[in-house]
Amino acid sequence: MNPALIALTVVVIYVIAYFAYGRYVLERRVVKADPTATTPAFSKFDGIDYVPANKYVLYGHHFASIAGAGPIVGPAIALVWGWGLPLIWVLFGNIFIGAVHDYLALMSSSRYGGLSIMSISENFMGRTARYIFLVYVWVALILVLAAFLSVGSSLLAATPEAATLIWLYMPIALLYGMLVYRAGIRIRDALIIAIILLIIAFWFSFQVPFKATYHQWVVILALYGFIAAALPVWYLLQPRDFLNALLLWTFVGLAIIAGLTLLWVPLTGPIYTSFVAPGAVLGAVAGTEPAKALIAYFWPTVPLVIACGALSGFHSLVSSGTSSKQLSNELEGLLVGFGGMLTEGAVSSLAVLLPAAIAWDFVGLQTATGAPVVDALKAVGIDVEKVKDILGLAPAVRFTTAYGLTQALLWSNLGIDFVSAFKMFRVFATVALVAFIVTTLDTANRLARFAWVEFFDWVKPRNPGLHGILTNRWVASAIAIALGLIMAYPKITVVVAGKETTVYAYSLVWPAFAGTNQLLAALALLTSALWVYVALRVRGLTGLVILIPALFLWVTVMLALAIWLFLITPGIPFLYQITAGVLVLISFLLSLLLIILFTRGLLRGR
Amino acid sequence: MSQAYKRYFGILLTVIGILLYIIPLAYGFFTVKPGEPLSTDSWYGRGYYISAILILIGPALWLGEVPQALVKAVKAKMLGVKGGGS
Repeated sequence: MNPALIALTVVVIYVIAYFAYGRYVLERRVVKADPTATTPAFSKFDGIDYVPANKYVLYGHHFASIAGAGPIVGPAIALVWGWGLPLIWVLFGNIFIGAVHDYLALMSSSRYGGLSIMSISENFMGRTARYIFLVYVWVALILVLAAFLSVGSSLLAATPEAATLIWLYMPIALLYGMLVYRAGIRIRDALIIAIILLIIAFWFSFQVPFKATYHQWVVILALYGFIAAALPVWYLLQPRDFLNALLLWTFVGLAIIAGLTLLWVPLTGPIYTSFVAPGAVLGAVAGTEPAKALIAYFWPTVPLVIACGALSGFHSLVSSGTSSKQLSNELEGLLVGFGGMLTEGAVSSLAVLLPAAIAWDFVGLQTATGAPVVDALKAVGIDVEKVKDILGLAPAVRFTTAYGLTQALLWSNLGIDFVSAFKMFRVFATVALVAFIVTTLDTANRLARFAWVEFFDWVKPRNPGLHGILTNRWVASAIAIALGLIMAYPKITVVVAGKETTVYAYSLVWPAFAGTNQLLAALALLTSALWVYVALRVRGLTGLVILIPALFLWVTVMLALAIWLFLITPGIPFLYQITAGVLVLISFLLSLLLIILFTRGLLRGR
Repeated sequence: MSQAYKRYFGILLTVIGILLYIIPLAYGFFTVKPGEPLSTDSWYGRGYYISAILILIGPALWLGEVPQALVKAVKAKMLGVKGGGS
């Protein structure tokens, strides 16, 4: 089977889905988007969070925020099932569940004055549901902050070139924003200046790579997250995310060009390995019995493994958090919410196909192409004697390595040295990954601030002074990121399978995050389904296209949580049981409560 | 803090940030072998990793008010609208 043909088919499916399903069904028949409606960006304009954005800028922000590391890491882990099943899930889950979930969260929030999906749930499931979910989301966001502080710091500490570039990237984005908003320079002209500076920065980062330690980066990224989340969106977020969108398209465009010019490279990875994988795939602690046991059935566990590329609860927070407050026109919601998610699906498809198609077996690739693959890998510290294939690398590294090899094959045909090209594009892939991680970091902190502010709305009529202090943007920003920092900085000693090992504090809870995240997705989609059914009065077959995926998702998440609770939790160390295990238990119970509240809302709204 | 002091403070932070930013990079560029990592353990490297934070916050204090172009665009839209969004 030809990898380029598969990639082309995937792109065609996404394009058809955008117009046939997105525009015709969702935009016109379900949401009935109104181009004359005033969006919250105008009606509640405050110059800080509620600020109208150009649709391409907002698309860039939305995509960069929802992407993080998810669309790349998840599919890379899911390769243990072969590449066929993960690719099918990315396509099916993305179009019929994930993109619907993101788009409806964005549009419902826009219709409810930019409120979060948690607060919107009050209209259909009651006040208790709203406050429970606001707390749950806030806690989940702190976990996201801790994880992204940790992952971002590890990548920056390990790739000094990326560290220099990402630190040059921020002021360039700032300058770009200043040129457009302050100096009144046309977007196109400012963009040319920014691109020239970025190219110089890229070259410069190889001349002066900057090395800082993990702990230095954790503190710096936390400071960055604190400041960036409280600053007005027009100041940094909008210009940076517009540049992010360009970075993304360059990244994807180069991958497509490489894919199309490498028709002769054979597909070396297996299409299917097994329906059931070891429990480690589900997040079971390495070294324990559940991590080795075959308990990760492709379904229902795949949504917990491949989140962002197919479906993720975090996206509903972005859609109904930062994006809905910057949407200028309801008709632009489709590009941002639905299109943003399809793009992420395309990146995830690449993350499945590139390692599987091009770089599964390193020696095999060298034999097939004659390129010095082994030498190139050795130049970045990968010993092919020890790491035989792509599965031997850490998930994020699988993708950056496969991306680097693919590009090196392309550019070496044009006379560029293979090893140099590999090193350069591997850094480029890392920078793209880190740019999305850093964006997700400050967006997550901003979202935590929104959840915090919405939670304390009951204080306002009772004590306006206290409410003012509690909801001050700097205070609300500092609390969440400080807790994230506390979880990402220290190392804790844990006994796993009789051996003492040290882990970062957040990683005790992190294994449960996949379940927490997808429970949020179920909450958001069920709330959206009620909005469509009760408020928009969409019934019949059109109503079912929302209701069925919502219920399918709830059943899937419930079963996956049950596997975690009953098959994994009993076999993990005590410290993990009282952290991750308890979080999964809470998620399981909330999931039951959610379906009761949903059924009640549905019956009431008939 | 009054507006004037806020501005001066913002300018000061920006200038310090730019200096902390440029000096290590320039020093590294001219003295260290290309491609060899600079370290925060070096004297010129210590300030580098906080420089971007200063560059981020400095201009925000200095040029922090909402751009008039944006305010005008919102006003124009609100004057021409037919109804609410919810």
